[in-house]
Amino acid sequence: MLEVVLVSIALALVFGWNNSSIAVGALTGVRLLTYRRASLLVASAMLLGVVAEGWKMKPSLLLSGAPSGEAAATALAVSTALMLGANIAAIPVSLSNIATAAYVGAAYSAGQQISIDFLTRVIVAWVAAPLIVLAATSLLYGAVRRLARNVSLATMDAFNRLSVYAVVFYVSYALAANNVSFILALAREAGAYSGLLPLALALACSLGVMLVGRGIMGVMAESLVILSPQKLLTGLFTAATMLWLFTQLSIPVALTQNMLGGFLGAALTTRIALVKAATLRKLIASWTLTTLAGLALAYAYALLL
Amino acid sequence: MVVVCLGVWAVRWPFSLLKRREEELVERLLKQWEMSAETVRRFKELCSAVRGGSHEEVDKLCGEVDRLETEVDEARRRIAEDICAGSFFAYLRDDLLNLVEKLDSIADSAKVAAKILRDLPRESALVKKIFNEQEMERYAQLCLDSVSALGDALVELVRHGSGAVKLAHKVEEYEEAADAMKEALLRKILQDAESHPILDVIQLKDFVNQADNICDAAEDASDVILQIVAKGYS
Repeated sequence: MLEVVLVSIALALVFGWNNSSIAVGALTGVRLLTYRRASLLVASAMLLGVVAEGWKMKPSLLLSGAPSGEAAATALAVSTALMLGANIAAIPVSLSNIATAAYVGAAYSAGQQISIDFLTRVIVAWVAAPLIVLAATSLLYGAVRRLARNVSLATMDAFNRLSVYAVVFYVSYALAANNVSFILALAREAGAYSGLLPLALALACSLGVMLVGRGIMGVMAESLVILSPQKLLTGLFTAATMLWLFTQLSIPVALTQNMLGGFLGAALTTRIALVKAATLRKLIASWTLTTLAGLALAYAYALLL
Repeated sequence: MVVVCLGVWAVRWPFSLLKRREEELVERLLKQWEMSAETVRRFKELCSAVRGGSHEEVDKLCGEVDRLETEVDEARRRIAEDICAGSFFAYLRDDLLNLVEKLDSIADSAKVAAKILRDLPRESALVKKIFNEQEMERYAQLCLDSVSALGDALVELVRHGSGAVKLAHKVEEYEEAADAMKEALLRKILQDAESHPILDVIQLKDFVNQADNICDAAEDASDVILQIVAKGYS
C-alpha cells in the first residue's frame, strides 16, 4: 500500500509540474501575482477540486467486471514513468490519456473484461470535447467582444485582471476534480485507502506546480496561436468548463486537449488567425503516441508481473 | 427595483475600487499628451515669431518649450515608475511604457528644434526666405495636427475604444503630409545653397529634420495604439 501511495504522490507531483505554467504563465508571467501567491491560489483550488468532486472519478467503469487493483497500480507506475520522461523531454502529454490507456492495457493483459461501451464513450469524449470547446469558445468570445465593445481601457484592464484570477482558480479546480481525482481513484483501487490521500495528492500536485517549468499552456498560447488576453481567458474558461462537465460523467479528459480547442476557437474568431500547423501536428502526434505507449507499456508490464 | 439597484451597485462598487489606479494612470497619460501637445503648440508659435517677432519673444517661447519638455519628461518618469511597480495593465505594460516614451519624444524633438530655431541667424537671407514660405507655416501646422490627432486617438482608446484605429491612421496621414512638406522645404533650402553661408544651410536643414521627428514620434505613438487595439483592448 505504501508503494501505491508513494507512486500516486509522485504522479500527482509530476502532473503538477506538467501543468505548472497555468500559474506561472497566466499569473506570474505578467506579474499579476508573486510566484508564492499564485501557487497558493492554485493549491487551494486544487485541494477544493479533489475534496469536493474527487469521488466522481471511477476508473473501474472501464471494466465490465470487478475493479482491478493490479491494473490500477500498473497504470499509476506506467503513467508516472511516461509523464516524468515527457516532462524531462519537454513533450506535451496528457495524464488522462496515458493513465486510461495504461489502465485498459494492464487490465486486458490480466484477462479482465473491458467495458467497450464506456471505453467508446471515453474515446468519443476525447475527440469531441476539443471540437465542442472550439465552437463554444468562438461563441463565448463573440459575446465577450460585444460586451467589451464600448468599455474604457481601465475597465477592460480591471476586468482582465479579475478574470485571470477567477479563470486560473477555476481551471485548477476543474483539473484537480478530473485529473488529480483520477489518480486518487486509481490509488484507491490499488489499495490505498488513507483518508489523507486526497490532501496529499492535492499538495503534491501544487508542489509540482511550484516547480518552475514551462508547460503546455506556454506552448499553446505562444507557439501555436497568438492570442489576446481575452481570447486566452475565454479559451481556458471553456476548456475548464468542459473538464468539469466530463467530471460529472466520470470521464477523464485532458485539459491540454480542450485548451487546444479553446485557443483555436478563439484564434479563429478573427479574420487573420495565426495558427502554427507544425506545432499543432506535433501536439496531436505526441498525444497519440504517448497514449499508445501507455497502453503497450502497461500491457507488457502486466504480462511480466 | 431597489434590490436590482443594490445588486448593480454591489457589482460595480468593488469593480470601481479595483480600476481606480488604472483610471488614475490613464488620466496622467492623457495629461502627459496634453503637455506634449502644448509644447508643440508653443513650438509653432516660435516658428511664427522667427518670421516676425522680436528676439525677446523668440527667447521667451523657447524657454517655455524647454520648461514644458522638462514637465513632460518628469511625467514620463513618474508614469513609468507606476507602471513598473503596480500589477495593473499587466498585459499592456510594455506598450504603455513605449507610449509614454513616444509622448516624451514629441516634446523632446520640439525642444531640440526650438533650440536650433533660437540659434538661427535671423538676419540671414536664407532664413528669412524659408520662414516667409507658406510651406514652413504649413509644416509647423502639420506637426501640431499630427500631435492633436494622436490625442484624439488616445482619448478614443482610453474612453471608448471603437474609433481608435481610424484616428490612429489619421496621425499617419498627417505624418506623410509632413514628410512631403519636409522634402519640399529641404529642396528649397538646398536650391541655391552655394550662395548662402554654409552654416545657415546646415542649421536650417537640421531644424527641418528635427521638426520632422515630432511627427515621426506622433506616428510611432499611434502605432502603439494600434498594437494595444490588436491585443483586444478595443
